[in-house]
Amino acid sequence: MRFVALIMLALLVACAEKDESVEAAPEAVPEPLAASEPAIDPVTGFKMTGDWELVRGNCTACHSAKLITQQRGTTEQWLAMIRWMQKKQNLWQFDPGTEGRIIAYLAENYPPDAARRRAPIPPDLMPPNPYSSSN
Amino acid sequence: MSAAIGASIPFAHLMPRGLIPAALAQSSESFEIPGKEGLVVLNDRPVNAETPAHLLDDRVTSAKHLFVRNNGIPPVTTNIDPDAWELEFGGESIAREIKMTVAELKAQFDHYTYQLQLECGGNGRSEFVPPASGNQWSNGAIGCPEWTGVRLKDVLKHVGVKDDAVYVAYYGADLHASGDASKVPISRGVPVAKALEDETLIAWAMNGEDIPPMNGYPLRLVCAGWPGSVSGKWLKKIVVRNQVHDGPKMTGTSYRVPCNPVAPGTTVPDDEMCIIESMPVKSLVTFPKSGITHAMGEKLAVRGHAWAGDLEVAEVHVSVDFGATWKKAALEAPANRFAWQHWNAEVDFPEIGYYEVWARATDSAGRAQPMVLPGWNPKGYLNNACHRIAVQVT
Repeated sequence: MRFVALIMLALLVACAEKDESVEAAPEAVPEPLAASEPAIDPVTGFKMTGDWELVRGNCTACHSAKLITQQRGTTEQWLAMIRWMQKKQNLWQFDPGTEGRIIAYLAENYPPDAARRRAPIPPDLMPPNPYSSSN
Repeated sequence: MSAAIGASIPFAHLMPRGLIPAALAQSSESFEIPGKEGLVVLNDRPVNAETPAHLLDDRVTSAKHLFVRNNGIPPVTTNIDPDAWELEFGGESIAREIKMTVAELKAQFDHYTYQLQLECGGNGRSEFVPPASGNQWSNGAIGCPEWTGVRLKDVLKHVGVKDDAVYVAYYGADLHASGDASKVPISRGVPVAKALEDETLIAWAMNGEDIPPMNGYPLRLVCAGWPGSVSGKWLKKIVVRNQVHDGPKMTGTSYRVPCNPVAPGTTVPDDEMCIIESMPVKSLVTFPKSGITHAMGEKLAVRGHAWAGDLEVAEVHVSVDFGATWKKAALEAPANRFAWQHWNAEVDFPEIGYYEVWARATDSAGRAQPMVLPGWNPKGYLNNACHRIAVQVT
């Protein structure tokens, strides 16, 4: 427990100092799985592409990267999550440029996942939905 | 383009945008496959189109509702004399390399008529996750018309087959999709035992009329229960081989699945891929059409067909609660071996709301349809997951 607490503290410090300490940390860069797939950061699990370090610096202070990498969302959904964290979880405010880059990384690398074992019946074969406002 | 393809596109919104031909994108001309109605066009070059489940409700599939599957470019057969069409025999294990016209086939051998189901090996591919490349068939690459012709076994007996025969394969008159006349678009076959079944026909008629141009006019093989690709269209040549046939689409990954099951997304070496033989048990709900609103308190009559490759269907069950409970449907015997079987049932709904009616067939060996995609395979074959329709009860 104490060890975990120390790590959390270290992360908080890292965040407080913004990107410098994050970028200074030397890390082994793993080989990508395939040519088209970005490498995975062995520490956080983030896809090492684009603004991933910016996301690491801003988004792993209070929670692990796994809370992100297990999640999927559209631009709107990721923005809504950020707004919720700002409102309820003490996430700091971003300048618009930083926020845009974070959202773009998240929406591009963790988009809604179409993978399912069995998709719903297609919309054109569905009956009118009594709860839909368009009916 | 308009010569090959010609009525309206009823399900135009389902056409993958990238596949709408340039000629169509540039004009308001409608897209049509002559003689076909209501098919969903998956691809215009080569032409591939499937039949929505509710249009397969007829007991015998009509010409206009039989799906279209092409690997290449169909031959132009508009002004030919069908009786003069020649069929050639060859291969290492044929006794006599001869040619026979359709007229000679008709005159020299007994005629047989069977209702035989044809299903594309890739029927159901659209549900594969990770996706499999190829035409994204949903459920409609299946049909069961009545075919008339002569038995392949009678003809082969006449021509003569050597003792070392292993495989019987076909060549058709269709052109390679590239237009290169030196390339064969597809040439597949079956082991001798399958070729010599009573129901394996060299057919010149479908439902008592000429075979539709897109389905093989004037002559085709019908070798039911296996992937439709073994039933060569526009039949020009039959070869009896002393080895497993190695024509285009026989080798590599074509019409093959992993010899042993693999996890979804696995890259499988070619030598670990095995040729598909019998298709698996499957069924369709053909009535009502998915998407109806039904009155609470009234029973709903549902019906459809079921088939099982080389086997017969033993039972069909239906469920309105996602498989929590199943009710046995009434099931008819097939018109003949390899004909689909008709089933019907009445279902009740316990309260208002959204339901799905699922159908699940079980074959004579006790194997039932899975409710999810079975054995993922790289090319997306053999998806026999249960079909289902949506019903809103009010």
